[in-house]
Amino acid sequence: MANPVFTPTNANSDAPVIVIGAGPAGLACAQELVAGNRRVVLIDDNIQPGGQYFRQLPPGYSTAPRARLMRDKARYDDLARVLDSPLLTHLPRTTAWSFPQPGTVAHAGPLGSGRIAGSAVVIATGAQERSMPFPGWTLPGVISAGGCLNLAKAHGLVPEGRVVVAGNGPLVLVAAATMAAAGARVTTVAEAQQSRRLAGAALSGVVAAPGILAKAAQYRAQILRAGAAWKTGWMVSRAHGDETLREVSIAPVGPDGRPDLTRERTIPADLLVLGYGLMPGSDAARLLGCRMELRPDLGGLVPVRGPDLQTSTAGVYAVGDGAGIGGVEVALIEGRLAAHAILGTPAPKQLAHRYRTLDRFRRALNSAYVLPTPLRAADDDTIICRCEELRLRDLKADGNAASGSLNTLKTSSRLGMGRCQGRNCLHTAAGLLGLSPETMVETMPRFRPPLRPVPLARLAADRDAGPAREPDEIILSEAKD
Amino acid sequence: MPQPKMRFIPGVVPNAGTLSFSFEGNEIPARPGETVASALMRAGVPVLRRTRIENQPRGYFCGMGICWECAVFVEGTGVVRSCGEPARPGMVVRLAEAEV
Repeated sequence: MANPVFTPTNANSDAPVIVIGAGPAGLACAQELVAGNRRVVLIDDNIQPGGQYFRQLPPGYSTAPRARLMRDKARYDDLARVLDSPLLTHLPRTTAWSFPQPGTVAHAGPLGSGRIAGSAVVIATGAQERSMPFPGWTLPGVISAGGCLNLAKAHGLVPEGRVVVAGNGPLVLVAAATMAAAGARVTTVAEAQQSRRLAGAALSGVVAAPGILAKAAQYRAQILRAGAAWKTGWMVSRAHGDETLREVSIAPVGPDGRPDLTRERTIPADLLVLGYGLMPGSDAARLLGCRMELRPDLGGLVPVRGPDLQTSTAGVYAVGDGAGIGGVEVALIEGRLAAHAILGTPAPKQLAHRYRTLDRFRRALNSAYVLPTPLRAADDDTIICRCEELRLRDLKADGNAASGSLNTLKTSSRLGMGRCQGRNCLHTAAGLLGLSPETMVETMPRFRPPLRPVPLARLAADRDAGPAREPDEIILSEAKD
Repeated sequence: MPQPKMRFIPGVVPNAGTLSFSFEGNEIPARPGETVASALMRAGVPVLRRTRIENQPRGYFCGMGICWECAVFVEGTGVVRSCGEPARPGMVVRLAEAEV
């Protein structure tokens, strides 16, 4: 099928720039565009802006100065002032669910549904978490690192019981420190990577990102002060409980990426936090026909971008974690750089310089956390697809398991056909079935509109809805050496 | 064994006043603006839905609207993600089951 062609015919007209995602990248981009006198429509799935990093408490909640919420309120307040601008239209609780024509975004939400024609589209949809299934990981009480951070940031909550944090990547540190600061009893923190592999990235950060390193050291101190055991080279092997979590087993990571069960330890736990890494949420870019590439140093499948952060689809820009894992500092700068490119104004030299430095650091950090062998704690009885309740055994037994194609396997097994639309399971299923990352990407089922489940009544509210296009065909760039 | 509850982080001041809704026939108190998931977790209710095929318990997982594991059924509305749904007075909520 032909790649959809975005003809930015409205590029210099009054048409607004459509920014999808109101996290750090989207807000920074909107702020810079509004400063350049451009109209912006900011579409966001959440009730309140801020994305994951700047996740806000419910409206009306306040905090005493002693509240140990590790959040960056001052910077958020500064960014959020853009929401008051008459040039900006904010559509909260709204899903950008399709791109029916070049440059047009179909949206649906409780505030109304419809289409907006833009002069440019900025994808700022952020990251999603990687799953690492193991026996018992579906028990209530087992939550993701993002879910853990949102307990504190979005709900103002801390668990009363014992907390174990396990994973691979900077989120382990952030989640554990956030829980400890909030007053939780964090008993054990298990990072799968060996500490010596992380040392190099830490060294490179001394120059590139001293602020980020200082924060990491502060997190680490917070965890140790709370009395938690800090283990590197360990992973979760199992979670135990009937209706809810009661115990967690952890074990050293073996050379094959599996837990070394001869040295397994079982500890009581009421909450288990999993942070087995982030990957860019590539769905919107794929649906917009952007050329994609597999980049381990950027966290996985990302749109190919030029120096102006424009994708291969003209007029479509991609910024923040959705275009490559980099965290809040990278996201804020990319949002501003894309805005300058859209406005046709040169970016301040300092900003461009800071971006080059941070970009090198984040790629070193992402690479440092890459494990020699992917982790694998699932046994045949482990649920892989949480929505459709498919166990590894079911997938292996499927007649299409040997086809080497995720899409073929999906049609016969229902893998990825539930409400999460494959976001939780497709990557892990591919790894567990022995597909290479390249094969996974080449055979991944297409994203079709709607990009997220949308109630039919809200789709029906869109009177112009015609047949949906299906442009998402993953177009891989030529591999670069 | 009762599940340890969630509590407000010391220094977090929720909105004044209390409302209540029902979950599986039990009355659950909530603060204005609080989400259904938050109120349920503070009440020590970790199981929010049961799976269609095996009737397995599931609860709050991703906290950002991707996984749908915290789905509950609200009378008059249907299946919603409890982590992003503000509690309303008198709301009748039950475990989401076959609907998800």
